Amino acid sequence: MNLPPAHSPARPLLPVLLWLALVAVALGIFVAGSSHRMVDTDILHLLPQVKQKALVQKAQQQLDGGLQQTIVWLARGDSRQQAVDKATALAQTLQQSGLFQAVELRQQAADNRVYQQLLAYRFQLLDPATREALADDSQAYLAARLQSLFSPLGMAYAATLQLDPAYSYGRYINQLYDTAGAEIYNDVTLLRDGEHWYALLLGDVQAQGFAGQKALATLHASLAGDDILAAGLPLYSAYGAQQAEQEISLVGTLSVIAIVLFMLAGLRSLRPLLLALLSIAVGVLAAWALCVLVFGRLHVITLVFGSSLIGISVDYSFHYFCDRLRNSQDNNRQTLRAILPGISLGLGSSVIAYGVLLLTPFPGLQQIGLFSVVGLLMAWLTVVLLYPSLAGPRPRHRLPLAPLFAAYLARWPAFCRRHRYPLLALLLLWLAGGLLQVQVSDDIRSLQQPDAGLLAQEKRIAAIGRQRPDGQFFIVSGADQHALLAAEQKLLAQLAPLQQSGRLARWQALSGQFPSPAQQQQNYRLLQQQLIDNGLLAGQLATVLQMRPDAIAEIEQQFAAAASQQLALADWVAAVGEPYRPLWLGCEAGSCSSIVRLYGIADVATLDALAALADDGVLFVDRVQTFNQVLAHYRHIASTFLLLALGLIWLFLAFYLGPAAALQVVLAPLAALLLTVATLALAGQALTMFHVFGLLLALGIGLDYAIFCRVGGHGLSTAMAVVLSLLTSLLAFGLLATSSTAFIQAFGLSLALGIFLAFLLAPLVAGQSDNKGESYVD
Amino acid sequence: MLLRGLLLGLLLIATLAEAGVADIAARLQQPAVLHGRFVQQKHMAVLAVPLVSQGAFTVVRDHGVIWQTEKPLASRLLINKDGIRGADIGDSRAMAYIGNILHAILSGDLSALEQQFEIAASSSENRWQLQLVPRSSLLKKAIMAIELQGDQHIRQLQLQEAGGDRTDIVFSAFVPADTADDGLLHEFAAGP
Repeated sequence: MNLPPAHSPARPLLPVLLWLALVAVALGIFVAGSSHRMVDTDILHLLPQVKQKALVQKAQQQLDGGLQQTIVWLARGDSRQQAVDKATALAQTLQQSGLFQAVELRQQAADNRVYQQLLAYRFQLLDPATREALADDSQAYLAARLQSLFSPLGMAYAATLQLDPAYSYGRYINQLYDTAGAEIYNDVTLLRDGEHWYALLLGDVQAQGFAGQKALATLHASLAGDDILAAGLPLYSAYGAQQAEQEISLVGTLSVIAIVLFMLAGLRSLRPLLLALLSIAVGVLAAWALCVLVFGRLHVITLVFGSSLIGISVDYSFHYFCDRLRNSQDNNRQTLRAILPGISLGLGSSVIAYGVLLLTPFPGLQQIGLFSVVGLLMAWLTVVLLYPSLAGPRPRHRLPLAPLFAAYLARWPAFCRRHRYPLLALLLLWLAGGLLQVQVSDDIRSLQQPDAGLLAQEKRIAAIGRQRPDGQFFIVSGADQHALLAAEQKLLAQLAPLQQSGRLARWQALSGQFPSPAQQQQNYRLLQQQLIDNGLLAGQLATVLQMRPDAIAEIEQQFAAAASQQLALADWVAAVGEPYRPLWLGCEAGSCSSIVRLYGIADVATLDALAALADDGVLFVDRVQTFNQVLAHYRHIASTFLLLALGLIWLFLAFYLGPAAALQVVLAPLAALLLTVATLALAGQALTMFHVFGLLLALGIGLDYAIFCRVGGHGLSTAMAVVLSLLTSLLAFGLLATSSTAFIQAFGLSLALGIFLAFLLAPLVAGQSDNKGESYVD
Repeated sequence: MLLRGLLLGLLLIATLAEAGVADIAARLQQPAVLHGRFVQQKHMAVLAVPLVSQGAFTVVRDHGVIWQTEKPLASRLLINKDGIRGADIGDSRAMAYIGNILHAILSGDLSALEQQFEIAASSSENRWQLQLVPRSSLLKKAIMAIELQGDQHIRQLQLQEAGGDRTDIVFSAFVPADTADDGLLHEFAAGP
């Protein structure tokens, strides 16, 4: 019989208003922040900034600088003009897509600026070929130059004859930007590949959210083919986002469908279902909003976690409505009071478990921690504040499938107790066999699975002439410029044999193009000896060109005046710009540094050989190796935090249940985790950091099961809630285990296994009072 | 009536101008092989007198141009779609496509020239004139304009550089042929 609660009309409203206020705040933050953030699919951003030397970090930032947002496009044609036409059409398409903030096809003729800026030092700058020619036979050299004046080709030389009488400076500038095979045609950079020409186009992508990244992936897929190639970091990101999004929607949708079906089957009414969905939605909304507010951008693994959180946050709703089925005497508030201990302990343990993640130095784990804590808290608040007022009339029917739940709660533990010794033996064997075989894998390359098509395109682009540098490079330091350049030269000499044997394609270094101050003086003296002092230049200019004597005198005067010019490295770098500028790390605190970039490292043996060249003042940076070390290090930390969380939770529960009972409750999920690790090992899976992530989540869920079995105390309704929760979670996480993204798959698999085992173990730690099974007859 | 006549007249002039380039292209003989001689005068601000060179050239249609300077310094340049051979690599790199332009001019390939230049045409009874202004900003920095004159062959080329220098080339002694001898083709095929 239902007695209306003797409340004044105002009081039931207060909790509801409070809840509405919280939701409004969450909604506000969500709308304000989330639409402009890019969803991160880069696994590397899950890792903390490794405490590296500031110099290494600066180097990496400089090298990465432009690459993050740039996509390189090549348009193919059978002739130069065809390639340019294709590229022009492509540029238009890219502009119209709205995804690019800058599309660069035509080069601004900026090269002239370099010419002007270094002009004062023109007699100090010589390229190797010119230097050799002058040293060998300056007469032949000069004759060849003058010859070109008489052909239609000598225009550049003729135009600068007075400034650069032997065209030595012009030749230096020409080869400064020379990329083998590249040509400028109608202001467009062309690359030659056999019979075809490829026009180069650079696109800078705008920062965008999920939708934008999907659009980018779609655009690329529609354009790419034999005659349009593209490569760049944003593309990998876009394809990763597309794939992850497909999987997340699938998982999220199926989770929700599963919940809907089970709820309808079990509770046979629409209202509990709607309220459950509401608590989920609100939980995810608040979690997402707060994560974006605190972290600025959301990583895809947090979203993956979020879609899984759907399965957990609905637990509190399950318990509420299942309990209402059990006891039709209680009104809505009393139902709440009945389940409050259970769900509060559950929330408390979960908050501790995930809150602990906020303490780790991992941005990825921190995000997941915050997401879970806020999501669960919000779901709990929804049940506590909203349900009593909105849960509606009592259900008429009884608990469905009562025998099934009785079996779970009573028969299964009884069975286990009867056969405890064989089962225990089996368990120990299982654990031993598995744990002894545990393999760990910390290789980031096994977890990154870039799209195969994109990789193939990148290889083709590299073959045509536009390579992406390797992730390994050297940082060379010296007390000052001179020392730095000398150290670089020494390193380059050591790289020469590797290059000759083909194990290293090429390198890029400042000293490859910049002559040291000593070298500059030598250059000047060479020109002086070979052209001026012997009267060769003056003579040839007079006889062959019939240059006016005052013009010749002017030239010699200018040459003499330039005798003491010295070009500083920093000025040279500032003038020449790309691709040399990122290599310069500047001078500070009594040491100057630069980067030597490496291209085309053949194999691991070469990597070792390169690493061996490291020395005082020469640092070998291997980003892949660094990440792998970080992965290993933090796999250890994550596992430690896992145990720490268990300890804290035991303490927390001990307050309410007493130490012994708390220990039992904690033991169930712990055993489940160990068994999961054993199972993964027996299945031959190498344990990665993402498996540990999954285990962390399994801990939270498994704990909930154990707590509810222990404290829920309302027998069948508790069992029903637990079973419902398992089924929905298993569905969601099982699906993640089928993902094609390696780290999501690892996560889903360990999670699904963990909660299933926790489910099996939970009733075993239920209180002693359940032994007789009497309280199950309602 | 008057208006219509005016409009017709304007239309006629417009079509005549457009027809100009195509018309000239039609008038140009484009034999398979063309031999000839040239005299090049280069006027430079720093020099008291112009640089004069003379020699012979050969254009093989669809292959390239051989530019053989005889006086005052002998040199042999081979210009084809791959680039320029015979010039030192340090010099020719910057001028890789100047060779293309020369090839297009000498073989009378006005459509190729139209891709790189805006062409203004004018013609009279037996002579025509073309003025070429570069489209690309990079090219504009070097070349201000190129003027071509001729009848069934290009007779004169005047290249006005942006820096003020001027090159005048006069072509003469044209000898067309139907086939190129093997030695020549071999030279083109040999690659840069």
